[in-house]
Amino acid sequence: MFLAPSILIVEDDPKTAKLIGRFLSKEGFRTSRAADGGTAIDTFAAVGLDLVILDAMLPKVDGFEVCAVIRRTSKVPILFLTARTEEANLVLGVGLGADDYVEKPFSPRELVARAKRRFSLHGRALELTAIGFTLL
Amino acid sequence: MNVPMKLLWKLLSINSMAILIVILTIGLAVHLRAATYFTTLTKQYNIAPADAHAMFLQAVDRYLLMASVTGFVFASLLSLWLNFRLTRPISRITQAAALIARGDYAQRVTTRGCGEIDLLSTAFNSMAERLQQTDRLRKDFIVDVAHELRTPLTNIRGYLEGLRDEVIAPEKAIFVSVHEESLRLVHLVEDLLQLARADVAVQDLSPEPFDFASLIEQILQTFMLRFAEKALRVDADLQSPVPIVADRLRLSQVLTNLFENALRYTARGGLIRIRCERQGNLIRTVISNDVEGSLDLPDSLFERFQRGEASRSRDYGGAGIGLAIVRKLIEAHLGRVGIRRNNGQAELWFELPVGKV
Repeated sequence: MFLAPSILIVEDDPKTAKLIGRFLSKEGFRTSRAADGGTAIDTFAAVGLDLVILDAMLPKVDGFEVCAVIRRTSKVPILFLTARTEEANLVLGVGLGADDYVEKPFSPRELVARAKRRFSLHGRALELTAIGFTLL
Repeated sequence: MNVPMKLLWKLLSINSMAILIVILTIGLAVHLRAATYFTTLTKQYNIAPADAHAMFLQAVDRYLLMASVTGFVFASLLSLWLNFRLTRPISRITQAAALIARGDYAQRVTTRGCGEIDLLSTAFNSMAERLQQTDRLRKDFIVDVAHELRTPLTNIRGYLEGLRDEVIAPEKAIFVSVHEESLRLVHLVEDLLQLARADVAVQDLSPEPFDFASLIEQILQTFMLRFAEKALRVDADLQSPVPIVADRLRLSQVLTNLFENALRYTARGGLIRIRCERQGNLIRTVISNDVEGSLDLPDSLFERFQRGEASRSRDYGGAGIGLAIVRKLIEAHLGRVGIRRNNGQAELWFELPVGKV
């Protein structure tokens, strides 16, 4: 049976999280939510995910730490939500391993478009790997 | 102060040295040559004493001229050296000042020795340091404000876009939610204005004598309805009268912000305790309230845009400016303020001097 891709939304503002959830469900994605970094890491370990939407500024464990922990075990696409220009610079900096970012206040439609784009890129990369190409 | 005299001593010593050289040369000339002159002239050449005297004067004049030239050259060289020592650091400071005026706050001048110039350099450097710090705080502040604006704007923009594109159904709850977000922006703007006014308060207090305990009572009354809505109990022990000479309006602001915080951060059904008493020349007020276990209470809460860790989720609705205003106003009154955790309670205390009548 075909399962829709599953997306984890890590965002501490409940309204923003709900908003992103609605837009993604409308596009047929399955979504789950974590309100802080610790929960995000636990949720990620527990369930298989196809994309993580990660707020950079989170209480306790921030988005960058969450990203580092996820990258230790997984190549899942990570899309950052940033609220400061210097966070955006960090996201694209070397070593973090994030794939993309949108800056708040973002347009939800743009976020959805970027998420979809990640899937097509990621999917193609997986197909290539499957038939013997290595990308890196 | 002996330090500002240093330049004077330097100049004096230079002049004295020049004068000393002139006197020494003349003295030497007179001592060495005068006796020989007179003997030789009168005995050997039979020259009349009057002529001999004239020749002596001529010789003295000649040596005087030589000494003057030597002294002048020497003094000029010394003055030039001193001038060089003085003007070079000054022009360096001028250059640095020009660069700072253009916005390059990292400029510093290197100090050497221990004269007036070095005092000027030190003062100049601490001014530059202060400017750089103020500039950094200003930039941080703008970044913080922008960040605080982004979350409600994200929600307003996102939900409106959702309504427009019919991703979100136009239910009443959605409009209430978007309206709340716009109120967050309104509160942020109000807080920013308050903060700007608190900045001014430091130089602009209008003290008057009044009873601080009854001011607390009065502000507390305005909160009773909202406390009741959240089923909060209030235990106030105010030993009225507590006379104080202070800016009544500004202290009302302090109390309003503190009660606002207590209202926001006390768990439903919790207790708020208020104590106010005079201790010597200080008036100590303590407001303690039940808080949730996870709430951190670092002193940085008094910095702008800092909130207790658990409240970072913004469920509480504050922008983190209230306590920064409280600290500014209390410090303007030469008072102190702090917060600590005490058996599951947050205990905020502040001390104000009684003030002069």
